[in-house]
Amino acid sequence: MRTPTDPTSDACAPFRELVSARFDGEPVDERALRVHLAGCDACRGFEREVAALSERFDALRAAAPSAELRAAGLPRARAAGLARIGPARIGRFAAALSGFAAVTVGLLLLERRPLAPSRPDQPAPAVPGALAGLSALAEEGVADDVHRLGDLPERELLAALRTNDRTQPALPERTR
Amino acid sequence: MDEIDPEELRALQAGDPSALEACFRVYGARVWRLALGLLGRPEDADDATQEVFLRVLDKAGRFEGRSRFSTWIHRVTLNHCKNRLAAAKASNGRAAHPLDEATATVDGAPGPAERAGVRDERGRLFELLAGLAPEQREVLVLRELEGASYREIAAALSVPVGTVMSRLARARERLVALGAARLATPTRPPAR
Repeated sequence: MRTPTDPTSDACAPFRELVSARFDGEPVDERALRVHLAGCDACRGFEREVAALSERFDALRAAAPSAELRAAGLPRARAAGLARIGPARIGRFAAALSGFAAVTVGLLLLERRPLAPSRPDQPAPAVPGALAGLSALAEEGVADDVHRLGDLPERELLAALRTNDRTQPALPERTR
Repeated sequence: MDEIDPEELRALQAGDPSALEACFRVYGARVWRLALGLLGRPEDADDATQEVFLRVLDKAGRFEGRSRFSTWIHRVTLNHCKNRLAAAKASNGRAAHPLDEATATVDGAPGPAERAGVRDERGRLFELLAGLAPEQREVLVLRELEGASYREIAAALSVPVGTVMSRLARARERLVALGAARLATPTRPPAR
């Protein structure tokens, strides 16, 4: 008579499949299986072992994702959702937004201080960093976005920016 | 087995990231358990779960409704875990699956030499699973952890139901042999 875990009982292999399937609630040939089990200790032992093994999985069935994953999973997924919009579109939008901010700051500064020196002995004012950024954006081909967003006199502004030396230090203190 | 609300599924397929919340709520734990069973380490399961849901968001538009959405997600998870294991093997030459290291991670056992003395049930189970062929581990994890029917497993793996049946039986035979050799598992009467 075979032992419950006898690996050499190949003749029983089809019946062990039936034992396994019946344990899982799948339809099997009950009559053939009953007849075989009645005369096979090995397969009856296998039937008991299958049930015992399944109980071993209780520890894993009870396992759940960490609170950290539950908390972090969705934000990362949402970030990926943004990524699906496409890096090019996001980059273009960001550039346009930066340009709009740069123009806003730039115009405020221009309004408060002219770009050309008021007297010949005074040094030309530097281009503020934000305006330099706008010039760079214009050179990168996003001036259209800047123009649409700000509805600005683009040609005049950019021409004025290009005539100034961007390497000069920041705008000096405003003379009162 | 719970499924995502059809409206939420349509939103997900349209690429709405907010629909992921519903998707994660329904399938998150299942994906994580499946990944844990296949990869063996909770931290790997965490990463894989995140990556699977990013993939779900990206690929949900391709789901044609020929199977349950859970079956489709099972397939995505299985494929992702397979790729992850293959990449790990290619990058550092270690075993095809990291389950050999799972015991140390899960129950704090410091290494293989001490494994004989591990006490944690989950760690012992990982050790047993490590002894299975990958195709056997897949069907066993889908059946035992997810309660998937043979038909659902067959759909997830794109194999015939008969193949599922034989792989499960072989997996259980193997585990019985390993369990008897290593763990002196007390036998119990059939649960069903």
